[in-house]
Amino acid sequence: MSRRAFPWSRLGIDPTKDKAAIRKAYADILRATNLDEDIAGYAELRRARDLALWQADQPDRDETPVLLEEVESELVGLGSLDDDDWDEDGWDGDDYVWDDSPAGQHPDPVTPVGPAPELTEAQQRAQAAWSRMLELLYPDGEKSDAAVTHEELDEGLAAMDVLIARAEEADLQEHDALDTALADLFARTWPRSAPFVEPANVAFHWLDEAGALEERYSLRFLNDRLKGMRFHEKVQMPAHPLNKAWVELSRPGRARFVDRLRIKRLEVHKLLTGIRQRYPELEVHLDPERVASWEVAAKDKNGPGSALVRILLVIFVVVVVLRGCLADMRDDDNGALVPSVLEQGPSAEEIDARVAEIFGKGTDMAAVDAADADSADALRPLLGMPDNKFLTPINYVRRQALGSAEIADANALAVRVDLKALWLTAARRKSAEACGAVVRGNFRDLDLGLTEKEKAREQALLRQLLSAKVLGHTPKEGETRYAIPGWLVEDTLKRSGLPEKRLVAALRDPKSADRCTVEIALVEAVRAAPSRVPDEVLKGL
Amino acid sequence: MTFGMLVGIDLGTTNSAVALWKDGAPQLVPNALGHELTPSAVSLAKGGQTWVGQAALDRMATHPADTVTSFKRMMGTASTVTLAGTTLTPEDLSAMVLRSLADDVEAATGERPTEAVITVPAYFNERQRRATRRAGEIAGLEVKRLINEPTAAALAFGLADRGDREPFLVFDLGGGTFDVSIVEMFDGIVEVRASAGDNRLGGDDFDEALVKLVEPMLAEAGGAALDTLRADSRRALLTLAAERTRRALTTSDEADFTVVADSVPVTVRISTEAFEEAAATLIKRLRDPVIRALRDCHTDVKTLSDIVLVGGATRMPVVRKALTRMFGRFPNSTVHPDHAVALGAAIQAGLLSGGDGLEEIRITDVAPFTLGVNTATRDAQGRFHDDIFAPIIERNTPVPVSRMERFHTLGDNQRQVTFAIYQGEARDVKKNVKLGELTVPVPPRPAGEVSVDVRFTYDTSGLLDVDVAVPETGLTRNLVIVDEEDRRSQKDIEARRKALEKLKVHPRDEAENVAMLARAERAYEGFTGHIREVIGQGLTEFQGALEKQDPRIIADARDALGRLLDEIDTHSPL
Repeated sequence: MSRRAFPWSRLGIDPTKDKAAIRKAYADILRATNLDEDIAGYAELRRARDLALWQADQPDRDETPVLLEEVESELVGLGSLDDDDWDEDGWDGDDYVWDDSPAGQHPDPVTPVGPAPELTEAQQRAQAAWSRMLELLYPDGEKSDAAVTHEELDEGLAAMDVLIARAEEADLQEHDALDTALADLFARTWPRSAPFVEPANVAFHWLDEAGALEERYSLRFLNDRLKGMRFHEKVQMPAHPLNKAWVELSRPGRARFVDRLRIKRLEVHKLLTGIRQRYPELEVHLDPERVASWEVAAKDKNGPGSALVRILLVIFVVVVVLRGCLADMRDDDNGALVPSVLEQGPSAEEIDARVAEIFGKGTDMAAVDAADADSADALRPLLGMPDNKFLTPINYVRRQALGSAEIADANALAVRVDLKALWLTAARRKSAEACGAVVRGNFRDLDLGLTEKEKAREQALLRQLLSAKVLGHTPKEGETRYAIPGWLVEDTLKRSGLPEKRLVAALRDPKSADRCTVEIALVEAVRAAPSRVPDEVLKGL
Repeated sequence: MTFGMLVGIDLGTTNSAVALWKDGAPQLVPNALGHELTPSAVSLAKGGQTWVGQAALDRMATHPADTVTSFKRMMGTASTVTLAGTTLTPEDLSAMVLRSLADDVEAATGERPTEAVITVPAYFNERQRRATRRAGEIAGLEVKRLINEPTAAALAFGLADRGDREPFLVFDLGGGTFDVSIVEMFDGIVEVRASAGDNRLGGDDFDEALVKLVEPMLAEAGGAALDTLRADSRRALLTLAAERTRRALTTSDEADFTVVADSVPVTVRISTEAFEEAAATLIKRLRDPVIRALRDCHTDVKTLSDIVLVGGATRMPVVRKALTRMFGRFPNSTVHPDHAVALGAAIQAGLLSGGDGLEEIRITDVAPFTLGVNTATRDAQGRFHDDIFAPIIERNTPVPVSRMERFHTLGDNQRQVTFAIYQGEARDVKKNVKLGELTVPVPPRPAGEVSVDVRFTYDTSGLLDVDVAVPETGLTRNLVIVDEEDRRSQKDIEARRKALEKLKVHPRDEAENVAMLARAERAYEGFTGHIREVIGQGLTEFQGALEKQDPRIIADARDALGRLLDEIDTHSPL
């Protein structure tokens, strides 16, 4: 009971999907709280309640047992949000028909089904505008990356005017349906839809939803693009702090010596890393040659640099890892195995020996306790268990090390990546399955077969994580999403020696035979230049 | 438990009401005329004679220059009104209404209330809230809590059966303000999920729209005499006529708009369609706050369990029609649109004083607007722009709430940082409401190297507390937002109270007579010919009865005059 994770720890109940129980727990705690005296506690309580209710609304993962061992990953290459991706991934949870009519209740404008109900004149106009919008964004019925022409732009804006006017006078349900339909359409047809996103945002206040737990999936995507457009607009104004760097990088040709004196290198770096992390689509506005010349310069300064890197490709990788291994662990804590520990009661020496196996000679249970009491508490019952291949203490610690990303600082993150590299290399030597297991973070029943040298290295690294106090953390279940910047993609391509198509496919399909190779190459690429790698990649790996 | 008596007051734009928590239920307290609603109107005569409520409203037609209504719309501004040579602030005027309500409670219970829960529109800004609090103090009431009107209405609606409720929407269109709140109830918790609104939209605006509609028509219908009137009389006449017409339009498709100027009645016929068209822009403004509130709490309009109507202006068919169209269903009109807010205030009063039957109930509300500071940037020419709004507490955050943001110095060797505190939704601070200012010294360093932490704390009473800390020097500053008016000391409020006490209010037992006189005088001016003569006669008889000073005779004459006026009102030949 004592080791419930947030939000359940705050609500004081066991995980449940029973909304009434969640609300009741919240109400009871609220009544016992003086809000004005515990403002932070109240905020946390609200967050716990909201998160619990939100989780209760999510489709139940346990209902599909296959997923337990599976890693779902989703790859969204910018500018290639084709419909196939969406349908496969169940992007927004339910089977939403993209070409749903704006009113949600009228027949499909492209493939009409059933008898058409009587439409008012205003509705007919809106229907026509919607159809026009579809034709514009799907020229010849296909998705297109080409930008709209001037005539198409004017036509599209006129159609938008009609649709927005319709939304303003329709009932709120139709208003919302139209809002959602437009958001979905624009997300699917990005970047062709770009010029129409802002007018829609003005009418439907899309950006107000940014960052919210309930933010719609299509808006999560569009709002990032909107912010990118805002940034693009602002950065071109002289008042913007990064304006000089922007102007410099958008000039054609290599940067000359004078330019380097004129512009602060730090600002160029800030701009480049900033847009690559947040608005990678903006990089097309910069001159690749210019960017490259600055990057080479940066490398020269940092030491021996590799060859010129072209940054054109940015990939979003979304990894959903099920912490099945950990969930089982928690059950074991409270379950039948604990009494057996009491009966058998391994001696203190035996426990110390097992600890030394994990963290190296010289580290005993007392040392673990002193370094990180939380980890020690979690580890103790496992160490007391009779030998069990299913979940050995070392594999538990490995899993914890991998899950520490959420709370780790820069140093610990680097250590974690080193560990992952070590495990991947060892696992690949052993078998494809073993490597796949490491990729998915599933250490159950896994013997990596480390050499003595590797073992010593692992122990040293784990000791570092232990003293950083990150091993006692219980990672959140769910989704991590991160963008790999273009240069990293390039580097990974080079290291893996795979053609781009296969690399992309491997990231898309966790069962792909190449996945292991790709992941090793990616880890190596990251380790080669850790300071350049965005935090989110370090954490997501 | 409190020592004094705690009452709940709905201080409205058009009408006010007071209620008590008694015997496990909220109860309205009638005024001297036996009405539960007291018009928010004040009228003065030379020499300090004062009328409040219905009598004052009736003097509107006869003494427009000395009578004022809708002063709630001026709350929080520096504007004043001068009635019969006496200059009064909106707080003073509100205080006079509050005092009259307190008198009613004293008359009904024998005990003078000393504390109050007063309702304010959810979208009232910090200044307007503080002005309301001051009005309470001037009236001799300690304001224990300001509660949002839709929240109060939700309490009255939801506590009727104490059951759990899926989110419902409270649509509160009063005389001068418009609020939308989304409220949910479960396990005794009344949770406001989001509020939005427009504090410059209400029934008054519909009257104005109607006046605009009829003015050209009146001119055509031969209302030239109207133009000879003084501007304020003319306005008062038209507004009163508009209100009458608007009420008539709630029950029929057509109504007459009649004004009597210079003893000449002018009438034009207004159809519902014409009124709807004139009110179209106002109706449009009802939509945005609804959408914003729903969006802010991520609630699907389909899942709303009810649309609860509150506020007198929701009686208008044009509003109901628009709502039905907007939501695709009929709104719920089970709560009394004029009573719900006062009843809710009484429930809150019961909660604060530990009233029986309320042990399990808790209310949580949200901050209805964004609070933040201005930030500065420097443009390419080195000029400062210090007008960009940096939000710290976003709108519809549950209160109480405490948030911190870190800011950095902008100039090399900057010696101090000044934060102006704003409230509003615009990016440009000039379009938001400025609440105060705070300056802290910082150590001289290159630009951007000194950081300053600003923490906003907004408590359940809606008070904002600002803490500023400079980590490098360990300096901290605290500012409870007090604006100019608030800085005026307690002594000043005392002085205001004394000044108002000098104004002569009619003794309570005369209230009915005073009101009847004012009503008869209004009627006298409103009619011509034979009917005017009849009213004049009744008036003379009543004045004669008053002189005899025999309560029985006075009561008989008053009843007779009242019946006469009722008769004329219902069978108006106009």
